[in-house]
Amino acid sequence: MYRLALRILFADRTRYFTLVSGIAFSTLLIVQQASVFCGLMSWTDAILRNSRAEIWVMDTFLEQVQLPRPMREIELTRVRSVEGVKWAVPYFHRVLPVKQADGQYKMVQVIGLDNVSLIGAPRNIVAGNLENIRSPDTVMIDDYAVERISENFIAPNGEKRDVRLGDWIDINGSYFKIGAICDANRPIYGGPYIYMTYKHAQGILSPDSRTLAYMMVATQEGADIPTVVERIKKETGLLALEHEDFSWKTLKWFFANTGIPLAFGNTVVLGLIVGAVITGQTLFSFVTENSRILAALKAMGTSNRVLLNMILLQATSAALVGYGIGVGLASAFGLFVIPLKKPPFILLPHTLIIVFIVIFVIAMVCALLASRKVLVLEPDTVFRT
Amino acid sequence: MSGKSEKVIELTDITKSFGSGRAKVDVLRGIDLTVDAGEMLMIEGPSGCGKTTLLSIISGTLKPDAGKVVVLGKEITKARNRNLAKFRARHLGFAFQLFNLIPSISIWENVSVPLLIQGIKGREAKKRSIEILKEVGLDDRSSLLPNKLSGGQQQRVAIARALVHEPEIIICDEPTSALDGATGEHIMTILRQLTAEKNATVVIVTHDPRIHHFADRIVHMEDGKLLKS
Repeated sequence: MYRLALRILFADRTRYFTLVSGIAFSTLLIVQQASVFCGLMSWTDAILRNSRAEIWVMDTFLEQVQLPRPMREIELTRVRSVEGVKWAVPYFHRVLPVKQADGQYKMVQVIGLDNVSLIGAPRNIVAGNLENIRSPDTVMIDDYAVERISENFIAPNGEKRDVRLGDWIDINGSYFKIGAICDANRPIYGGPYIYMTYKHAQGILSPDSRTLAYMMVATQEGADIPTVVERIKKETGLLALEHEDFSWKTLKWFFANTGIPLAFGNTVVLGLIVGAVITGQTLFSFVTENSRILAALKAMGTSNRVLLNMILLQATSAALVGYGIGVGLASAFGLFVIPLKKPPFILLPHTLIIVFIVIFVIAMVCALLASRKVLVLEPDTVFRT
Repeated sequence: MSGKSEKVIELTDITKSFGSGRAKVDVLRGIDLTVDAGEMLMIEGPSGCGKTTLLSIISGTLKPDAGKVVVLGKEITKARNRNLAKFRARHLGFAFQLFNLIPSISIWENVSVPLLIQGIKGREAKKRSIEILKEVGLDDRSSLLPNKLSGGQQQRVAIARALVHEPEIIICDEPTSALDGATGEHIMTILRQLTAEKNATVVIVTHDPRIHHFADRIVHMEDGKLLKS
């Protein structure tokens, strides 16, 4: 009987196509939007993805990583003296302008790394050498900076081309040579990243400015990280967070203080509604149109349970095919945009599982609602013309 | 199988009405009827006299308001719907006025539906379906879809479907009303022949006088009552 149910479903090509299309479109919309949302959220803590530390130390009132509150230099010494701290290095972060050939400015995020260790530098260097930034007035820019700065870049010989190693750029009135190019995670805002030594970064700002945005801390071997975090907080009065906790704090801030989740949530809900309406309407009309045959099957002795299972099987089958097509289309979209890095796209296994459950539940609920008509159908209906 | 004199259907004082209050319509008013094993009984009467309601009650697809229905020795009036469905699947075959074939599956698959309902699947179901199609002269068309057949051929398929699981009782609702005279005659000849071979009891509701001569007995209905039997 179940094979029969599938044959009946597949034979009604128009309705089957509508059903599968509705579910596929719904799946595509939800998976695509959820993946772009995840990608966008991954941009919120791009600094932390580029620079990894066991513990980050910051001003007590800091809200998220993109909004640093510079501290006094003396705090570095205090943190270094806390029991369990192996080392602590300064981390500079400031949004500053890069002057373009046409006189306009583009904002970049300048990251200053510890002069000696260069801890916190992205690992994927695509051109030049990280060590070059130890040289006077030399910086490393990320691939996004290449793209942004190149938009209005004119070489000394008047040639309009992309910036490359050896070119000079004006950052906040100081000239720096590009000594390396890296591949870094993009930020949600604030512009691309330019890495230099902490000492060079300090030189960009006026001498009385506070420059210590964060401290990157490593613990001694065998030390319990949460305990060290608590000690730093207690002994310095600063905020200390483990790396993942800092990421979550930033993510939570974006959830609470921006309209991004709501905007994407609206589209996801729209996808759910579209899926539910098309699935429900199509299944309902399918059952209505086949009510005479269903009544005949009932008269011939098919039980309500079997008829219900037949409709659930039809809905499941359409849901699986529609889900597969929707995920395929969303993945194709991802494959297309991932190399472009915009919009950001991260398709998590969790997304696939959750969307599968949601689509399956929608299909089952719609099938159950549609099947009510069958369950209350009297078998003698078949004798009434 | 029951002997010729055995009563396979016994209806006692059956009443049925639809609606309530002033809109209440008494459709069946105290029907008493018995049908013997192997008998072909025709119920005829004008439209609205209650013959389809009576057929529904005999087939267990509708319950009477009062009275007793015993089919094959089992009182079906008080049976639960689930058990009634099982009973119909096992003991009854149906041929409907508009055939009610499933348009999207082949002819032999349509015929196999009663077997599938009983859980008989695969090769066995196909073998038995082709065999019965052979008996109605349609085995060479078993793979076609129903819409490739004429009305008469579709009704032959419906008869094959009614007989494939070898039920004791065949319920036919206006089996020839959608067919021309010659085709109706041919259909009834086949039905009569096959049910006689299998000693099946046939209850037919009809208002087609052209097929009356196939009946062992004809009962007339009017205003919810049997006039004579």
